[in-house]
Order: sequence, then structure tokens, then C-alpha cells
Amino acid sequence: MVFDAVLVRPLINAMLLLYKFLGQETIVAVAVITLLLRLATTPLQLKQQKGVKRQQELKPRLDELQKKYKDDKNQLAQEQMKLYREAGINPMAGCLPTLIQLPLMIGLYQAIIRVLASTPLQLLALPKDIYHWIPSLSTLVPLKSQFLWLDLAIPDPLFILPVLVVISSWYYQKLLTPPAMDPQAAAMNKQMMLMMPLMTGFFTLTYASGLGVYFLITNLVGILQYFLFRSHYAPVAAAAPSAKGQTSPERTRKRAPSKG
Amino acid sequence: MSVRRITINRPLASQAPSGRAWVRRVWLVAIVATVLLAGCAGGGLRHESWPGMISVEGTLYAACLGHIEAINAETGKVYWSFPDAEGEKQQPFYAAPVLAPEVGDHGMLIVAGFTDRTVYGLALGASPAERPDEVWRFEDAGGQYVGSGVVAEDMFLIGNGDGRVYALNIADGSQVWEFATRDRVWATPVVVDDTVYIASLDHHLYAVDLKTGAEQWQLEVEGAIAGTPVYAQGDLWVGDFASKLYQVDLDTQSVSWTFEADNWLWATPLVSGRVLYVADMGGNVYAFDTETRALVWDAPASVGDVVRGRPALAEDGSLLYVPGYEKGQITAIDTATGTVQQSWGMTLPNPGRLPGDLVLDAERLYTMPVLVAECVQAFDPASGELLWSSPEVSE
Repeated sequence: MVFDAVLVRPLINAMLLLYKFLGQETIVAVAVITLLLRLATTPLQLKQQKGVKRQQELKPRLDELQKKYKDDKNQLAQEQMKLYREAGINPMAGCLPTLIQLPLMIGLYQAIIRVLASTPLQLLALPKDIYHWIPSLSTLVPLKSQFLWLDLAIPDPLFILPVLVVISSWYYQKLLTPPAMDPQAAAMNKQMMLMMPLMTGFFTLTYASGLGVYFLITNLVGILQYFLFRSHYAPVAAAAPSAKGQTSPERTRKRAPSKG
Repeated sequence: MSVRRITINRPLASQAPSGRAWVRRVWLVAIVATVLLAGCAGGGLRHESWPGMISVEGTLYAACLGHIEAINAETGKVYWSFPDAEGEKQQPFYAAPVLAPEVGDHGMLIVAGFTDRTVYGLALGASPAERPDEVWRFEDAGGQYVGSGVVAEDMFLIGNGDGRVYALNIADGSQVWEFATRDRVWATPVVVDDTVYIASLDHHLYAVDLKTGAEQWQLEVEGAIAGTPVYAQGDLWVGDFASKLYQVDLDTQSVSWTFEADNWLWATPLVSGRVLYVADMGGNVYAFDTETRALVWDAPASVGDVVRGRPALAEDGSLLYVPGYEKGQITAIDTATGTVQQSWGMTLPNPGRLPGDLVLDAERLYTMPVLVAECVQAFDPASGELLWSSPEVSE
């Protein structure tokens, strides 16, 4: 399979190499490879956030157009597209970084699950993923899976990791969510802020703890990135908009990063 | 009653679905993603290992995932299941059952559960069709049982996922001793005279006193050892995940010879006379003369599939049957030349996968496929023709 050959296998072998050279600690290997991938995709994320921010900046002018052409919907649509063109914004361009990051995330998830093979059948699939031309990679298997109270190959029996993942995921989601343009978007934001942490929490609860570690590190690095590159991000969704689709300007201003 | 047709012409910014529709869509995506990801785990009793089986005088004792079954080897008819349908909650059995023929009136069958971490002693009845009685349980292990055990003197020895090997009294299941390694023990312990040899995923081979469980010596190898070693010509032969086959001299307690294969060695080697057969996970099958250590064939035979299960040798020694894991096909290799016997072939439209060891008796070759409904399949060793399946699955 092309996806395996291009992404999953290189990640598996990179993780084994990191494991080998970083003291044979699985959690360190997972943490470092997650960190490296996050760093590699940082330019894409910043570009995406810039796009979101610029769309937010256009909002007053979009509101004006909506008032002006409230009786001529076709004209309104044309004027909106013209405005986007003039501002150099492609409304769909924000999807591209996400589309690039998503396979990376799925590939890393697959790699972690395969490397942490804990049962005989899981381990049986691993030899064909290992580059046998790299000396002694096979001698590292099976990876040491104990870390503190965790066995990284099985779910956390104490539920500490799922809780940490849910909290960090919720906070990261909150930081990333831009102010809603209308009540519908606000409803969606609210659902996403609830759903994403619950989903990652569910996966952490169900699958190998190594995957939970990956979620946690991804969230923590994301939060760190937000504070390091705050000026690139749109103001966060501080409050739900009113029924008329207005966000609270006071709260938005208060949380908006200072310019310059 | 009148019907009004309303045409809505929304601007682009307002063409999004209503709030409720958004919520429905978001949850739908979440549910689909969850189902897709959770799909990897499967449902019900999942295959986490491979089932094992033994053949004893016309009866097969098979670990059929949720049950241990006694099966008529000629017809495939199931005599009994343990636990029975109304019995205890089902849990997977993978380790091949072990028969202790001298215990009790008609022998004892010892089986080990995977997830319940329990070893059961079952007293067999006068006939194979008679349901056995559970005599004892051993529930003190901390991990899963993957490899089967072995009977030695009045003890049953078995490795566990908690890294220990347990020696149990066959009569009552009480623990005689335990020996701890630093990783999981998936291989069956090998007993030679008064010594137990234990292969562990911690890269070590341990020699332990049979009576006390006291360590005599240990030997470190390059990779993890998951396969069961084999004793031949006074030496122990064992393969590891570093793709190495080691000949261990038990007198000097050291490696006397090493061979590097192309891939991991997990399948238990097979010895016949002076020849040792071993298959790696790249599908290469090697034959060695155990005395000269020379390769018997000019080149390794290739079955073109991952090989995990132990091969079987035809009664007359002319064919070596090798189970391919992913394609689920058995390949017959001419032992004289090392070439694949093209005229031999399994007759199965949907063979499943074959991670487990092959079992051969005088008349039939048996497999225990996974990912299909059949638990045991019997083939004609001469032609590869399917003789029966248990349970019988209609097409």
C-alpha cells in the first residue's frame, strides 16, 4: 500500500531509530517524533491561522455588504467574492494545510499502534514494516512499554491519561476556535469544542496508551505554539454570538493579541 | 390544504445549513470516524494470537478461540466443548492443550486461557466423547498465556505474559515454583533431563533446575526469542528476532554456531534425523545438517509468504509442509531438492490466515485458520484436498 510505504513505514523506522538512540525509552521516542512532526507542519499551521485571521478582519466589510445588498442576494454573493479576491483570500485555501496534516496524523497514529505491538498477532505484522537494511533495528523489538504506571501498549487502567488528554484537547480547541460569524457557526464551534476532546478521550480510553501520549504531546505542543506565535492567530471565540450574529466586541478585544 | 413552495436564495455567507443541521453533520462525521477507527479492533472475541491443537489417538484437542473442543479426527465431528454453551463467559483460548496421559484414570487435559489468565486441569473420561470434569484451576499468573505448556515428571510448566514460567503440580494445580524473566514468555519451555530451558522476549535463554526452579545459567542473544527452541543432537537450536539461528552447546552453556537468516525467526525449527528445517518470516525455508552445519539445499526454498507456524514433515520424510500466514496456503517442499512441489495444492476458495503450527498425523494434515468461520480443517497430505472443516461452513 502506497500510504504505508510512503508514510507509515518511514515513521515506524524513524521511531525505532529514536528509540535506539534516546535511551530505549518508548515514551521519549513517541514524544520526540510527535514534536518533530509538529515542528515540520508549523509553517502550514501558521499559514492556516493567518488565513483565518484575515477572514476575521474582513468581517466588518462583509457585514456592510450584507446590509447594502440585503435585497439582492446574487449581487451580494458577487460582491463578497470580489472582496475576497481583492484581499487575496481564497476561502477554501484554509482547508489545504489541514488536508496535508491529516495524513501525517493518521500515519503517525498507525505507526505508534504498530510499533507498540503487544500481542503476538500485532507483532507478526511488524517485520515487513522494518527496514532490514538498517542494522539492528529488529533487535529492538518488542519495545519497552512500561512508563511510570503506564503500559504504553494497553489503555491506562487508572484513567489519568484520558483525563489529561480531554482537558488539554479542550483547551487547545478553545484556543484555536475563532469567533463565530453567525449563530450557526457558533453552534458548530460549541459542538466541536465538546466533541473533539471527547473523541480523543474515547480513543485514549480504548486504545494503547502510546496513542494517548501522542494526543497529549500534540495538544501541549499546539498550546505552546499558540502562545509563541500568538500574533498569527485569530482572536479566540470568547463568547457565543447573540441571536443577531454579533460577537462580543469587548471580550474579543480583550483577548486579541496586541499588535506590533 | 394548500402547499406553498418557498424558494430560498441565500447569500454565500448564509448558505450554510442551519445550526441543528450543522450539529447533526458534525456528530455524523464523529460517529463515522469513531466507527472507522474502532473498526481496527473488530468485535466480539478478537484474534490476538493463534489457536493451537494436538492430535491424540484419533482425537483432536483444539483451542477454538472461545472454546477448547474435542474433535473426531476422521469426521470433524465435535465431541464436546469446554466451557459448554451454558457455561462460563467465553474467553479466548490460544495455547495448544497439553495431555498428561498418566494422571487420573484416563489422563488429564491441561488448557490455558488467554485473557482470564487461568490454567484449567480437565480430567478426561473413558471415551473421547465423554465430557471432561474440571479438577483444578490456577489463577495466579499476571499475564496472558500465549505459548502452550509442557508436562515434565509430575509438573506442568508454562510461560506467561507476566514474564514468569510457572511449574504446577498436575494433580491439583498448586504452584511448585516460578521463575521470573524480564519480559514476556511466549515460547513453550523445553525440558531436557533435569533442566528446563526457557526462551524469553528479554533476549535471554535461561536454564533452570526442573525440581526447584533455581537458575543454573543464562545466555544472552541479539534479539527477542518468541519461538520455542528445539533440542537435537545434544544441542539446543533457537531463532530470534535478530534473524539469527543459534546452536547452543548445553555443556559449555554457550553459542557454538550462528546462522543469519533473511528475516525474523519465530517458527519453531523442526528436526528429522540429522536435518533441521527452519523457516523465517520472509518465507525462506532452510535445511541444515545438524552435524556438519552445512546447508542441505543449494538455496533456501521460498514459499512467498510470512511463515510463523511450525512446518510439518510427511511421515515418509519426502515433503515438508509450510504454512503461509497471509495467503493462508500450505506449500509442500520436496525435502530432497528443496523445490516447491507444484502438484500439491490446497483446495480452498477462502483459506483465511495461518499463523499457527501445522499438525500432522498418519492420515491427515490439520490447520487452524484465523479470520474465517472454520476452526479446524483437515487435508489429505498427499494431494492437499480438503477432507472436512469444523464447524462445517456452507458456501
